[in-house]
Amino acid sequence: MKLKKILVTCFWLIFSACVFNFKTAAALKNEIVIGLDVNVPPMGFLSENNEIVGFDIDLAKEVFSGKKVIFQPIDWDAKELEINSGKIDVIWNGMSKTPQREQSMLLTKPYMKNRQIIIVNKNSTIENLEDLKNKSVCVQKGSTGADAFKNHEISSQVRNIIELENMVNCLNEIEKFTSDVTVVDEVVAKYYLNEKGLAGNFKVLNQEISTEDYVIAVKKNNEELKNEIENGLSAMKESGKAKEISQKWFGTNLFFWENSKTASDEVPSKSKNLSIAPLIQGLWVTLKIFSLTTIFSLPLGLILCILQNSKNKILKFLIKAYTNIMRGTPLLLQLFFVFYGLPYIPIIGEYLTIKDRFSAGVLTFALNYAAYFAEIFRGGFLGIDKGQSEAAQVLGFSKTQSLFKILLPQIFRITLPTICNECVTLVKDTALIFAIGVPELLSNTKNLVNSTANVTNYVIAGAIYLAICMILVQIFKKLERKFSCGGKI
Amino acid sequence: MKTIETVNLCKNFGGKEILKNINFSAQNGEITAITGKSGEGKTTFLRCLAGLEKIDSGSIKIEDNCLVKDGIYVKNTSKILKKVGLIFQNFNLFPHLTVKENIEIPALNAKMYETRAIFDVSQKLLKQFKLENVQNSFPSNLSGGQKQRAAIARALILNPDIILFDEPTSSLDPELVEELTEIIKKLSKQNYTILIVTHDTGFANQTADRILALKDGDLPAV
Repeated sequence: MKLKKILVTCFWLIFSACVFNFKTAAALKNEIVIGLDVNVPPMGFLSENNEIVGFDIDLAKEVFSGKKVIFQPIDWDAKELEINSGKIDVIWNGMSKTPQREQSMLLTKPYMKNRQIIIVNKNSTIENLEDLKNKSVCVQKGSTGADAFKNHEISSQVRNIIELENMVNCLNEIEKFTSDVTVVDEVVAKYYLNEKGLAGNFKVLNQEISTEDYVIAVKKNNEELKNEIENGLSAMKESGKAKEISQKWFGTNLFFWENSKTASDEVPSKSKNLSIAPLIQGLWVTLKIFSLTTIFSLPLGLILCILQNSKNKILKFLIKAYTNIMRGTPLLLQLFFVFYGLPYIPIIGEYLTIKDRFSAGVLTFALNYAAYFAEIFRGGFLGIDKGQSEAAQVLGFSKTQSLFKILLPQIFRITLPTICNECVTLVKDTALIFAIGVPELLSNTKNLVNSTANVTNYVIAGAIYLAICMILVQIFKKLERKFSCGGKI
Repeated sequence: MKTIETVNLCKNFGGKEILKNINFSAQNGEITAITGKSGEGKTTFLRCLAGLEKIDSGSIKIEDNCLVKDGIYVKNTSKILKKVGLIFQNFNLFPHLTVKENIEIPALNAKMYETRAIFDVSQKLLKQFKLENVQNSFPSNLSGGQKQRAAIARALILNPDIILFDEPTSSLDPELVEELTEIIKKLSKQNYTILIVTHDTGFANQTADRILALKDGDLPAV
């Protein structure tokens, strides 16, 4: 009876919460949430005062002048999900019109024109599109520049295409020569380079990859909101307010409204690929990272552990410091540091530059996990009865014989469950390598979900991770059984 | 002939004198039992003789070789200590190796004979200590008596002259104690010098040729 009462109370609580929620949602209708990537100056970005400012911001504030406007920074890759799930109402962020976006969202008429230009280091020998052959190209992931470039015929002839989280990273790559070329939005890049006084470090090729239209997106079928925005923009054009805002940000009028016949056809449509090929490719990379990391980190961890038992105090201190640093800082930070940070170390920096992203990632993973394994093995050493090494000593074993024939096999056995645990964690940690531009299972899945708007891919990816972990656990179970030696130690 | 001899052996632990001026010797074929309450330093004495603890002053002579002379250890102690075998109280068998492997591994490490000869010797020992049936079992599956016999066999494969037993009856059922007495007596007939540390006076009376009592860090001179 008591249980029934509790259940009924719970039900009413949940029900009333839902009703209240609906009510508040309706009451807040006078609020507009605009989603944007805050790394896109001058369209929308964080000012020095940590306020979101920009050309698009000013336009939006004007259009929705009677309402409360909230600017919500979002993950640009997930913009379709954000808008279609109703988390945000509008995407207004120098977003180009593509057939794919037209399909997944409702777009306004174009309000701006933008070219995708090619930027190289000022000392680069690259002069035109032809020169891109066998060069490394850096693009902002999910940007129009990225899509346009991948669909351009030259993309099949370049050495590789690196996709990074934002344009600033791409430009850094060009400055450091870790990539040769970047394809970016003209508006964005020019504003950025002029603003930072960096224009002199780069040159812009005369040829462009494509021209595109900037549009504003709302949720599919939300014609009402779309009309509201379009009417607002028309009014701003009439009043000259739009021109004024454009002058403020670009020094010229780039606002473009009346002409709805645009160059959008120049962006070739991306072939609709519903296959799970990207998942398989990602899986392969994930497996490679996992196996290489395990192969390198286990022996390294063991060596660290053995050295830590040495009598040399300096060595002991160094290893202790190493394990503390590796375990006490985020793996993500270590990835950034190894790939982006090492070259900046004075004098030795240039020798520490690892150009290959995959290698840098695996190196970081191996160094990080070695620290964990070293501690696991240390625990194993502590878990072995002192009598074992004494017995070995009395039976005339040398120190090395005692270590390799008596202690290590037992440590291996004791630590198997913990190692298994660590390996399972590693499987999932491999996804972090994407931060330095290596596409793997999770990032490929994310892209696939965004391009197909099919969330099932997340489930598939989840199932794949789960399967890998289950297989691992089974393998370790077998190993444990094999080395059980007839029971407990 | 004296196979083991200590002169004025002293051992301190954290500033406390555990063993004071111990003068002791034992001969081939002789079974000596050292009794005393726990904490008196019986086991420490045994561990000093086996080289697991370093003494602070005094001398230890094994056969005709000095292991320690006036508190100073010789350089190559391992060669001298080969003559001493120690059976631990909890046997310390290697849990990841089978009984057979446990017995063979010291000889294989030391490369005492050719590998095949080592296998022959281990078979003999397995037979002698009634371990043939369990030779491929791991220690965790053995009874206390089997574990002890395996530990003895493992010590014997290195051909020691002196065998030290640390509390050998502590994990044995009463009926197995008799069997142990027999095993030890047989070993003494084979001319091994045997030193047993035990608190079990009944077992000591049954087994030993002479019994010494360790008290207040002193062992009455023989």
